[in-house]
Amino acid sequence: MKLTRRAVAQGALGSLTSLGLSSWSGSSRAAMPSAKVLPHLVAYTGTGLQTDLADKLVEPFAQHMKTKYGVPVHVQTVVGQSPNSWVAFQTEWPNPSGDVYQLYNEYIRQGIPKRYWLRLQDACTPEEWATFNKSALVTMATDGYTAPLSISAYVLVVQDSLKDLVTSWADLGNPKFKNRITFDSALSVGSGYDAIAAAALVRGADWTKWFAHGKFDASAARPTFEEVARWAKNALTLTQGSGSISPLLRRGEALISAWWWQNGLQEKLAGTPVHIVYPKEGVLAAVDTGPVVSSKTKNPVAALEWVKFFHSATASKIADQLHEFNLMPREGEPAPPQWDEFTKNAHIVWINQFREWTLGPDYNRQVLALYNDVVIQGA
Amino acid sequence: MSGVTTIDPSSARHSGIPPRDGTVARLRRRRERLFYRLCALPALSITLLVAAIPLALLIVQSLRDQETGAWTPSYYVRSLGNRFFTHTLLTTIAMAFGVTAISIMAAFPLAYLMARKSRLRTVLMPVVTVPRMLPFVVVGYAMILLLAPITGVLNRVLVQLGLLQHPLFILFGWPGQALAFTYSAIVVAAGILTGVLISVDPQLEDAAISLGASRLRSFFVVTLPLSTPGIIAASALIFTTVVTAYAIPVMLSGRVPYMISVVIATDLLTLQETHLAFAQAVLVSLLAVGVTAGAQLLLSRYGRR
Repeated sequence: MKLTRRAVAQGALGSLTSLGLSSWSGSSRAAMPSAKVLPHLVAYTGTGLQTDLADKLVEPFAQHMKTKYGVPVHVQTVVGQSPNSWVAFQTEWPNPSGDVYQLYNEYIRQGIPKRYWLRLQDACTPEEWATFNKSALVTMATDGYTAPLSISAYVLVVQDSLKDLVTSWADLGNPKFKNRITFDSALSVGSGYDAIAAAALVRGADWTKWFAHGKFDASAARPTFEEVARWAKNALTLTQGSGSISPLLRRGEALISAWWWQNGLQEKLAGTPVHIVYPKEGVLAAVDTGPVVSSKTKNPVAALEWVKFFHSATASKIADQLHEFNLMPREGEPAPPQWDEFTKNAHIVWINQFREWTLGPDYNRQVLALYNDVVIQGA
Repeated sequence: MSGVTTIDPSSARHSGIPPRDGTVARLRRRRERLFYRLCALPALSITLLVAAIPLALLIVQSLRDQETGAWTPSYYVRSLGNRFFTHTLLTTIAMAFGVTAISIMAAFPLAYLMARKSRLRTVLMPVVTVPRMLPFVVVGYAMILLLAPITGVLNRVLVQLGLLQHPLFILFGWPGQALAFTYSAIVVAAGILTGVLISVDPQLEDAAISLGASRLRSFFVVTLPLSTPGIIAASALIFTTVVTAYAIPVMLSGRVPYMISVVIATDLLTLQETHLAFAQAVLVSLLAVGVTAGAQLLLSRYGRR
């Protein structure tokens, strides 16, 4: 691992030297490259929170760069799903069209040995780096190339009429709520996999044993999938993402929906009489990484500044204004009350690894095939 | 060929120049035929490009192994041997058959009324055709407003009237989809049948009545047989539309897919079993093409009679 790290650092150093940059090292002080700041930057911003935030940060960032470097850098944002950006990046390599990319953790990890990125940790002082959430950094495992940005937590969003009646993931299969619960289908959206993790939690199943050397152990996973099938039989419908969950909650058709914590909060703010239930077995959560800088960027100073700006107090304030409460606050930074309430009540179970395995190319088709057989076809 | 000079009156009429001999007339006929064939060429080319060639490619791909590229009928064997696939195909056919029959029966009286009352037709036709102009997604959402278990209009009315104790959970099951399809299909049936019934001379019905037949008997003896071509055409169109429908099944799908298009889409887009999905798409296309060809055959036989 150390060798790899060194190799990557040397790779980054090599690429920067080739750009005529004089200082770039992993020393104790933050070492920003001293290349000329160019006025234009292209950032692939993903979707959802990241892209909303990026669009709002364009103007303040231009001001920030004008004050700091005398160049008002304009960021051109490119919206698109992370897998598409990743495919575009690899296709265009070694001349990627973007300077900064919003990607999934696993893509960033895949790119490290290929020397695709500049290391963010090297552009931060140790004090700055220490303000990032340590357990989130470990969970992400992106080796200092990116910092944690936000959290995707899967909870139960419940109508206020059921106050204190819902406490567990197992309530999704409770016959008292027959035809009044919903959760996403794994065949439609990525959040559907979280329901499988929730069922594993209820059953106390060790899902790490399902995945080994590219082979998915379907027989070991089957009882958990059968639990999901029982929930599915109890459901009004299997939803296909937030667009189909929200109307059912607003109209009162669904009493309980397994959904993202962030979306549940926004639903509350929109006036729907719902509350968040943090299931007693645990809240399933994954850390979302912040943006990563391409090692082939022609504008490394501005690119690294953009990433740091993404993790700045200014960005946190803007996220609050956007009602995006799932941004992870850095140490010493004030957090919105929703975040405090979440950290106080939610027992977090990290499922980054589970999501990476189930959504990754090695196991995805095998997982979906079992889901299709057991949950959809009832085989 | 008798050697007698032939004059083609129609070509003479069109050109305004009297034909001098048979050769000129033949040449002119050939030119006319060529002209009409050229006129049909753009439509034929587009059909070939966007329908025939992709379908041919689908057939080829469906017969090749996804991994090795070797020729194999295994995807057809797997599909037809899969109980879930065949069961869903049968529920799709049953759905299409039921929707076709119900919508034709429901649309016929409306079409008859519109065919016989021209003023009423002027008012009703735009109203009736509105659902046809709506995207299927909107039709699906309209069904949610109508059939939603707790807040849907139908359930609320029936519960308030005391006809139901508990709401019906039919929206995300096959009855919800059947209603959505019927809602769209009635419009198609009404449109086609109105056109056909307008061409049925009302004096024929009057003649039957004057000869002693009742109004009902004149309908069954005169009107219904004469409108059969319209019924066949509308039935084929509705059946194939339902068999291949995707938007409504996706919007109103519960856990279990009742329509084959959802199964094919899952194999294609989610499970990445592309060649298996191609084979299944070919099977469904054969069904749709078979029904359309059968309808054409029936229509041509009916035309000869």
